[in-house]
Amino acid sequence: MSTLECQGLTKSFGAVQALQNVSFSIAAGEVRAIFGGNGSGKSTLAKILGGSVFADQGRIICAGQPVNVTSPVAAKNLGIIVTSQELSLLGNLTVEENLQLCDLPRRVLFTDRQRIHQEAMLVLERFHLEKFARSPVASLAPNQQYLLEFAKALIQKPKILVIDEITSALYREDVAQVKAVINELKAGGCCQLFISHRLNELYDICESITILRNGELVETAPLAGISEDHLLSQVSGQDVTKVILRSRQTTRLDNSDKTFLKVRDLALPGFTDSVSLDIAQGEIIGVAGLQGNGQSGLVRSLFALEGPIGMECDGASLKLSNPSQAVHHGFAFVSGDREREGTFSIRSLLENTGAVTDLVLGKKNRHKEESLRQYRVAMRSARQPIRTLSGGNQQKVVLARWTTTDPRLFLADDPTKGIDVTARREVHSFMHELARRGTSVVFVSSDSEELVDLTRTYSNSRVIIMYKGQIIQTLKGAAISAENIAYHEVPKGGSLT
Amino acid sequence: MSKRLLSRLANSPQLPVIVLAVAFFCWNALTLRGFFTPASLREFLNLMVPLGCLTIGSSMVLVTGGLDLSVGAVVCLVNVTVITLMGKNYGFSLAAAIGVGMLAALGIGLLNGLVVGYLRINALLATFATQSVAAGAALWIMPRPGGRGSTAMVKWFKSGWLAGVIPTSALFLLIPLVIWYLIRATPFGVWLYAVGQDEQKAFLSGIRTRGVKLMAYVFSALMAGLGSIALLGNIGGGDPNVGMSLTLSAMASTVIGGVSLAGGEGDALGALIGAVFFNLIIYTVFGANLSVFYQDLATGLIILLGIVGMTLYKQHNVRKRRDFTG
Repeated sequence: MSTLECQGLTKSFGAVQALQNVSFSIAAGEVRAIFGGNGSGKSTLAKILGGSVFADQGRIICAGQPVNVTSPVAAKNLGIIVTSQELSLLGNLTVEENLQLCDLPRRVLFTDRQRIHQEAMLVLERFHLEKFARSPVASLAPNQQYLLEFAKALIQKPKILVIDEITSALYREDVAQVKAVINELKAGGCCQLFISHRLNELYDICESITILRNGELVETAPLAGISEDHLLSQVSGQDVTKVILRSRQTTRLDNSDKTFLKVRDLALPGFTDSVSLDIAQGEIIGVAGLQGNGQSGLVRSLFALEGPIGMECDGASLKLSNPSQAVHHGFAFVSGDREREGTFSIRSLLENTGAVTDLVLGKKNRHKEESLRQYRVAMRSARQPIRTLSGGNQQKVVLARWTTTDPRLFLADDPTKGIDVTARREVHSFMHELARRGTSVVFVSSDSEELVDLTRTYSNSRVIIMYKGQIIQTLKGAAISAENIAYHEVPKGGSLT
Repeated sequence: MSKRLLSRLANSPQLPVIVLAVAFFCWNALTLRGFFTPASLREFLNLMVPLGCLTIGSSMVLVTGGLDLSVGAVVCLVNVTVITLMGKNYGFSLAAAIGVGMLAALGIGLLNGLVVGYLRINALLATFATQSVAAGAALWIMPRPGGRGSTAMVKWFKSGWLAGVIPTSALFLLIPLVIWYLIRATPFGVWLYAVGQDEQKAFLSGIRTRGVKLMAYVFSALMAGLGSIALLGNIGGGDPNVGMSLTLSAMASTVIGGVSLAGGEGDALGALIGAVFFNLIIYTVFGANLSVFYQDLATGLIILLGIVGMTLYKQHNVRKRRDFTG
């Protein structure tokens, strides 16, 4: 039976205290939620357990024995397996190679391809991924890759499993599979740490919770009987019920129903049917759908990222051949893939904020620090490199970059992926603020509850649901609910493919 | 069977280089008098073997996302070591001299691997420095061209046959290829590609990335050593500068052969075909009766064509794959 105990774990990166004297213990077969805002130290904790970061102080005790986790290999030898939010999969290798990468079975000296295949199939069948066994990982959809990351942990027979944000890109049916596996491991006595921002999953999967705030442990308790509001208050350090109330009292300022943008017969990449959409000024459009049905293709196409695009803007025809032209016409685009498409990681916050205004539009933006403060970016100085911030704060900087361009159309492709609940709420209120000033917002999210939060509290809004590159349903007003979205995501008579 | 082979070929990342090599081969065969004769083809093979060895070695380093600028200097170092040891001052036998020469190559390979893999110094700078070290050592051992190798070996290399069917010089390509694909068939072969794709992720997955890189540089240096022996079979003498121009030719051939400079992609056979293409165009330009002033220009333009063609083809493939997944 394996147990895990952490005693006084402390870690700092430069002046930033990532973890401060964190102690807790987990019994065999327990599933513990680790919950906290961005920058609260959850990922640092996962990295220390996985051996990719060393604690400055503190001890890790496995099954009663103090252990030294000095490298990922050492962690694996102890049976500590960590799934990573950034994914540890290599796109150029096949699915089955990835699964057993560090200990590929051999026959004499050579890789035993047959055994790799057999062992991989056993795990892949559980996640309905068996037909991909010999495909390169790069050809899988994002949610399938996250499932694979989980499968990769599973195949290593973990004694202690740390699941870091694996579900943030998964859909309901995927999460159910993950949950089934977690329960099975639990029955086998495996200790599990489950890190997620989705509250309903925590309640559904975990039995106890450890809450972190700014690197310190706030509370460890059984989950049963703890209210959602209590959790959120503990995480943010303030009473959330007030915050939520405030954001629900939105001013009913109906912008005239002036159509700003008309898109006709736009073929999205990878789909044969085309899509048409009218976007009104000051409107918020939430985009829902099962993963890979053209949601991100839609916003990316509108930003001319998928080749030239023609549309009608203010009644005149408009042709955009590249993102630069889109920016000059007042389009803004925020991607959920911060690392690749959002931030200039080693440049300062100021430079990141001014990237579009100063460099593309050629107007000197003098209010950069001001907008960083307005977005409540947790920073020491505006000159620190952006990579020293947590994911949520980085995304706020990117949002600040685009809002200072005074955009007419704001396109967001799952911008809150991996961002904590409070920061999410802030992002939503920024969207409302933009829309109130006349900007149209098109917002894609893989989390339908987020879309409900975003659109229900703003009157001039709707949710469109996409399937196979087409808009199959539009929800407005009271019809917007997570259940309704889930119901319409799969068209009647259609099957999940 | 042949249908499957064709479709595999059509989807292969090496398609452009295969097309280019075949096209230039046919062009040469049609336009150059005496090119398509057994004697001339044998000569072509003999001359391309040294570059071929180097590209096979380089391809492994490039697959790990690295870069080896020292291979040409290793060719020089091995060349002067062997010739000097066979000279009358030392009187080594051919085999013993080659053995010591290969040890020198191994030394440079280990140095590269330790500096790049373990000290994590940028490969471009590290191997640029070790190139100077090896070239400097070669000049120190033999300040000016001279010395003679074994005439028997030159004869064996240039016109010998194994079992009556395999040209002896082809052995210098077959052995490295076999070693490469044997390595590819071990877990280590998978790790090479993992490290080249993303070193951090490979490390997090429990791969000993430093060891993988070390081995790649050692392999590259040993193949450069083998290339030097093949060169000795062609020229039979010592020259401290003999291999310097091979470094970048090997790199260009490797890239034309479909190995990505960014790592994680391509293999030895493609790189070797790149080297064949490289040598074919030298014949083409030579045979076109161009003034000597334009030969480099023409060669350069064709190489540029090869590299650009390869890169565009890959970008096209990536786009195709992305469209497929939506």
